[in-house]
Amino acid sequence: MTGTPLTAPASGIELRDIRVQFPLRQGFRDMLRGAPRPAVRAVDGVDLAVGRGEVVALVGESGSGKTTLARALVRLLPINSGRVLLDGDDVTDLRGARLRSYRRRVQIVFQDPYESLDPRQTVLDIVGEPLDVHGLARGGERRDRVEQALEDAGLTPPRRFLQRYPHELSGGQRQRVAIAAAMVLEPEIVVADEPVSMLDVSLRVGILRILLDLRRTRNVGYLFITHDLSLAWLIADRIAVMYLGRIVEEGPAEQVVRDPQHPYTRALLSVAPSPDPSRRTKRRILVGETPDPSRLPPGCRFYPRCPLQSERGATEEPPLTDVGPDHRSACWLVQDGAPLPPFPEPVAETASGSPADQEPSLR
Amino acid sequence: MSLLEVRDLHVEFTVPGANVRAVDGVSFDVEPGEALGLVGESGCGKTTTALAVMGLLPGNGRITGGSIKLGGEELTTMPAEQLRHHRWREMSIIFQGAMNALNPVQRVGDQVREPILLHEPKTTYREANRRVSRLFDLVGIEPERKKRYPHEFSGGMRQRVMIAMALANNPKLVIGDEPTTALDVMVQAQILELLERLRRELGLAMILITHDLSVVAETCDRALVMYAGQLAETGTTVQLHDRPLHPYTARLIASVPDIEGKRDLGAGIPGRPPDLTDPPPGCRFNPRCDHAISACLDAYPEPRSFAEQHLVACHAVDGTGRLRSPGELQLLPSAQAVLRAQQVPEAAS
Repeated sequence: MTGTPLTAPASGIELRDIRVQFPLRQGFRDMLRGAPRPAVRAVDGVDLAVGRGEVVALVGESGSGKTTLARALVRLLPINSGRVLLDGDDVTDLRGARLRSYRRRVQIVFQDPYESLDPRQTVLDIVGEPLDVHGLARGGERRDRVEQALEDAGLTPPRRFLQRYPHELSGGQRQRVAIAAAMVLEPEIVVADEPVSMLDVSLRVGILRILLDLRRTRNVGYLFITHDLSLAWLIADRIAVMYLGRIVEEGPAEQVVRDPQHPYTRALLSVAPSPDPSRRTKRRILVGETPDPSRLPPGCRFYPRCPLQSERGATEEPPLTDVGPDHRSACWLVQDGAPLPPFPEPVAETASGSPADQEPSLR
Repeated sequence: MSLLEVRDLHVEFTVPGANVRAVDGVSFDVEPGEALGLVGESGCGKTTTALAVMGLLPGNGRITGGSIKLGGEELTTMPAEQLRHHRWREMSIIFQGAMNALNPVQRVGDQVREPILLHEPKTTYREANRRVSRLFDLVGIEPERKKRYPHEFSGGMRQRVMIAMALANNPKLVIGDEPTTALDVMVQAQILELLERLRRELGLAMILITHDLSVVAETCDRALVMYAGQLAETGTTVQLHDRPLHPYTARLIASVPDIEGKRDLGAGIPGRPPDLTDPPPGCRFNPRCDHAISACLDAYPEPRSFAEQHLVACHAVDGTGRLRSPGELQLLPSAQAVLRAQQVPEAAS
C-alpha cells in the first residue's frame, strides 16, 4: 500500500507496511467450511521512520494501535507482514543472538512505572539486569555503568539509590529507574510508550528533559507514543497521527499543529487542553469513541465519526498522499491540493438524545 | 449564603511514629451552581480536603480543627448516623479511576439503582428504575443499555455510569477527584463537557480535584491552589492564568504544554512535595521556590488579597500586589540553586 517513497534516514529505524493482527475465535461451522480465520487488524499497513537523534511522536487514542505498533517494533509481539529496517539492514526475521543484539539497540520505556519494575529487585539489579542478559559488564564495571545510567536519568547521587526497592521511590523516580534500565544498554532507538502520562504535570518536564538530553548527548532517536497532541508538538520533530491501525497524517510537528490536513487531527487539536480559560469555547468534540478494530468501516476508517464525511470516504479508503513538503494526509478532501474545508457548526447537545450516546455507526 | 463553607480546616493522619498534618488551615466557599477547582501535586492535601468534606476520612485520619458548613449546617460535629444520611442526599463524590471499581458481575443499571434504594428507602423499585433510566439519559447513555455489564462498556462510558451514580440522590454538590485523568483527550473532553452541561441544567455545584491546571481552566470558575496542605493562591481561573502571583501557580501553569504558547519545555518544578511528617519551616514551598527569601524560612505567609476573590500567600509579593522578580530579592541559596537548575538538567524529583 506504500504510495509514496520513504525519505529513508541515513541511520535509524524504518517500518515498511507493517501489519500486526490478532486472531479472533472462529465458529466451528466456519472452520469446517474453510472460511478464513477472522482477525483484528490492530496495525494495518504502517510506514514510519525514526532517524538517529530524531524525535517522532506517534499520536492516537486507545484502540488506535499505537501501543501494538510499539510492542511489535521491539519484538514483544510478532509482526504479520511488512519489513523493519535498522540502519538499512532488514531485521524483520532476526532470531537468536542477532535478535538479542537488535534488542540491545532498540529499547522500550513503558507507561506505568508502578507495573514495569520488579518489586523484589533493588535498583542496582533492575538497571544491571540488562547488562547481564547481554553479557556486557560484570562486577565493578557493571556497577559503574549502572551508576552512570542512574545519573543520566537524574537520580543523583546514584549511590543513594542502588540498594533501594521500587516501593521506596516516588512515581517520578521509578520512571527514571525505568529509563536508566533502558539507557544502560546505550540503545540507538528508544520507543517511549506514554512515559509521562501517569505522572503529575509538574514532574513531566523533568522526565522529558532527561529524554531530550540523551538525544543530544548520545544521538538517541525516539518513537514517542502519546495520546496528547500538545505534548507531541512540544517535544517532537515530526508527528504521525494514528487512527484505527493506520497513519492518517504525518508531517513536521509545527506544520501538523498549525495547518492540520486531516479532520481527525484537527478535532484532536481542538480538544487539546489549554491552561487559558478564555479559550474554552473552540472545542470540537467527536461523537463516540474509536470503534472496535475487528469491525472496520468499509471506506475511510474515520468516516463514521468525521465531521466532513466526503462522499468517496463512505466506500473507498483514502491513501496517504503528499500534501506539502514532508507532509502527508489520508483524506479524500485534500487529495488534489484543496484546503481542508472548515467543520460545519456542531448540532447543539441536549440532555435527551445527546449525540454522545450513540455508538459510531458501523456496517 | 454559600452552599459549602470551609473555614480553617485542619486534618491529621496518624501513621506509625508520626502525625501527618495533611491539611493545615484551608478555607474556601462554594456557591450554589459554581465549579471550584482544587489544584496541586500528589500529596498536597486536595483529596484529603474532599474526604473531610464528605466525612469519608480513613480510620487513621481526623479533623483536628476548623469548620465545614453545608447549607448552613455544621458537619464536623454532626453525629455519624445523621452525617451519613446527609452526605448522600446533599453531596456525592466521583473517585479517581472509579470506573474500574464497578462490580463486574452486576448490571450497570442495578448498580446505579442501589444508592437510590439505600438512601431513600421510601422509593419503590419501579420508581427507582424509572429514575435510573432518566439518569442514563442525562449522562448520555441510552437507557436500554442499563441491562449491560461493565465489561461491555468503554472507559468513557463506565465513567458516565459513575457520574449517573453520583447524581442518583439529586445532590447539590458533586466532588470529582481527577475524574478524567485516566482517559484519552477526546473522551476527557466529552466527560468535561458532560459535567459542564449537568452543572448548567441541574444547577449543581462542583469541586473538581486535579493536578492539571488545564482541566480546571476548561471547567471551573474559580480555583484553589494548594501546596503541602496549605493555601498557596486562590482566584478566578482567569486571574490565576493571566496574573498568577504565587511562584508555584506560575510554575504549574508553565508545566502544561500550550499549543498557542511558546514551544518550550519550560522549567517544571524541581524537587518534589515535602514529607508532611516533617515539613520545612515557614512557607513549605521554600526549598523548591526560585523566589525564596529569608522571611520564607520564618513563617507561613498570611494570605493577602489584592483584587476581589484573589488571595495569595507569598512573601515575595510586594505591598501593591506584584510578584517581585528574583533579581529584586535577597534570594536564599536554595532559590539561587533552583534558578541555576533551569539552565542545566535538574536533579531527581
